[in-house]
Amino acid sequence: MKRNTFYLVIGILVLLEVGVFWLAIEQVEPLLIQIAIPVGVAAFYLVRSMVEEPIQDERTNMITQKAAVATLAVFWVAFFVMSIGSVVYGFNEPLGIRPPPLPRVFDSSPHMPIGDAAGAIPYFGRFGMVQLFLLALIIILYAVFRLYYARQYGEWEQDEE
Amino acid sequence: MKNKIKVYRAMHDITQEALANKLGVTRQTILAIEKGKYVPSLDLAFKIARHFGVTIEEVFTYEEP
Repeated sequence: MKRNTFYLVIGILVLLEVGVFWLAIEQVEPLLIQIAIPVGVAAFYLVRSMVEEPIQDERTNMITQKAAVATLAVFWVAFFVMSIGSVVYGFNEPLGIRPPPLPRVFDSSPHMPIGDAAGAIPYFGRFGMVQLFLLALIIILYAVFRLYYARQYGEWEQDEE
Repeated sequence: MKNKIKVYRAMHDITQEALANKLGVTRQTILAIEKGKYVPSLDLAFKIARHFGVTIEEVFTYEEP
């Protein structure tokens, strides 16, 4: 398989994943996307192994490593800031002990109701959103650093040949 | 680090793509080395020199930064 075909197949895979995600939301079936993601990742590695031309070498590996380290160096600060903010809610009572659950499920106070299965789902949803936000942050940071180091190590250099 | 890969390529009439395929790297890596944007590992430097049938010093010259 040619390199350009590989990129085309990956684009189609991403579109399929987005479609499954939309379907999962429509059907309220998280299992759909939870299965589709690992299958998609496995398909990615399978398709990548079929590329005949080298798409990875020591230079691209070095770019990846540098971008990963830079991403980690910035991300841990963002992660720490988010976590320490959450910890404040956890320790806002003496000895960190929370008051009993509030009678209303969707109370606007910072005290989250505990032990209420009906009310727990939206809070899990919010937790998922925070996680997705952090994941998006990692991806954006990584992409930015990767572009920076790729440019530094001649990824888009043009040559007369 | 200066190098004469382009000169040796011309002498052997080989393209960046062909050299890259023979060495198992991408064409961009050969281009980046030629332009001095990337310093290859010792392993790759030896492979390049060996491919042209010369010593590593004949292809690469160290320069004080």
